[in-house]
Amino acid sequence: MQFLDCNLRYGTPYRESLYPSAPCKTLQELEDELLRAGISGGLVYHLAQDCQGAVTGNRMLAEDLRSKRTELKGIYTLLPSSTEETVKPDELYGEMLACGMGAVRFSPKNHGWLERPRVIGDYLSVCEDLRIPVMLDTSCGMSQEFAWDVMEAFPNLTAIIALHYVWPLDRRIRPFLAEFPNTVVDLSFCLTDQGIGSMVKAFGAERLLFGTKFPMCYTGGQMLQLRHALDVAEAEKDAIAGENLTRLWKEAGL
Amino acid sequence: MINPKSELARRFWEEGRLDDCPIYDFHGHMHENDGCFMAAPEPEQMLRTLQAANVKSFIFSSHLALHSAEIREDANLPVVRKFGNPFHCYHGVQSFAVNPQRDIAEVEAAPDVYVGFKFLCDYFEVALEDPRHAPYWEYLNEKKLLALLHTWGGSRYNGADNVRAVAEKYPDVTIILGHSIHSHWDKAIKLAQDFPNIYLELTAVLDDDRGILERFANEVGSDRILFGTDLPWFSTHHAIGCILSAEMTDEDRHNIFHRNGERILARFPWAKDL
Repeated sequence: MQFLDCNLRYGTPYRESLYPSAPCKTLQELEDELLRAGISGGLVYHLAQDCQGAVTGNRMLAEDLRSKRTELKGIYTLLPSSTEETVKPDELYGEMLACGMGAVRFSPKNHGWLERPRVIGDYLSVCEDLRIPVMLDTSCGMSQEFAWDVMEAFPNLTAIIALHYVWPLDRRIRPFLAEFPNTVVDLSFCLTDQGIGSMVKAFGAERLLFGTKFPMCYTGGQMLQLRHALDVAEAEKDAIAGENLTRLWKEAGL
Repeated sequence: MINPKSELARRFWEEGRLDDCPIYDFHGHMHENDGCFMAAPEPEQMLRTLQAANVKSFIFSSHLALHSAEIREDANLPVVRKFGNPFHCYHGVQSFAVNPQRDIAEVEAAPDVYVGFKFLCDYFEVALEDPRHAPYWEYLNEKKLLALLHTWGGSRYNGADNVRAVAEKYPDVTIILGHSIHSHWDKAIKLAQDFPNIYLELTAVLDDDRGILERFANEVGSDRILFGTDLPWFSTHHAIGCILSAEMTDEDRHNIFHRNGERILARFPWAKDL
């Protein structure tokens, strides 16, 4: 069972709400923890992308990834193209390849832009066409309503739905899987007992990605839950643990 | 996997359940819930999870016993009677329709079923120390029973100040802080330091704030922390895995998984048969 974690972060935020009690300030610290836990890599973003600016944070992340020791790919943060701060939409794919990125993300609440899909429609259109994974994570600067609006506007988008909610969130997350065929779910906050088996039965193992939101959360929780999940075949566990994320990267050529 | 420094982590990874490290879960529920989806909320379904992790004791209060004035303890007592171990329960305190005389008589009549009362004050908007709850607390104190409290940071009904008010008055109740005054961790630690009869419980503590468990163990002690999941809300193996990931010793983990529970439940004659 090879684990790739679809939702990792590191850095030093200035905002308390983003600050885990036990943070990982550097990529090196993060990788030490991943190697200790037995996680091979995954998708990571730098908290500077929200706290210091998308352009600065993207650059810092790309620089750090040059000396990575694991199978990590970055999550590239985008701003509305109309301000011409981040890469032009038609240059996005090349920039992502050059910088070691495996997905894109948006953080409208942190970056001060209106949560409307048309504001970033040019990027979303490119991502939909090229099957670039888009992380829709409500734990960092995005409402659940906006995530839903994005999917309604671009229903074939390859999107990783990462809802942040302390209580069982199946009633919030399963409609995404039911309505939009290319959505997959980050399991970071899917803690419902026997919930993984139930979702596999309803939607198939190929729609689920192992994730932890480390260092906000302990990696061992989701690892042990998946390892001993009831009603999930070993091949399905392997797919969820890491193969599905690898597939998304291959489909996008990343 | 998970934690190369922990032999327990290695064994739980391989086996999922350990005979020499059973689990005592002090915070459980059962049946349908109004606010969220449960994948496996019925006792027969929950038994699969409990057996898969070797949960030797599971103490619950059904959502229906807490929320339904019509169903009440019909959702608790018959389950324990039918299935036996690992099930025991907290009698629900329906603060919106209290009837302490009836409720205490029901607990008295079934000492093989009940360990005490569950208070869910936020939901009912009635404070822990409200006079309507006094007969329950006096009974628990006299009989030296358990009180599981839903607690949450900032709450007017079951926040740190409310807990302090009852802890000062009822020193012989074993008070279990469900969710450990979630997000007001400093206050939970202070309460546990000030009152030896208070235990910190881990449901929802492990989910979104890595590092708090280590603070509890270092500043209060692993002998004052109880395992809990809100099952059928949250996965038992998820909670076990978080504790295996944390920076602590396997001795600490044994305390949390079962030793503290064994000690607390030793007061009940049925505990020797678990």
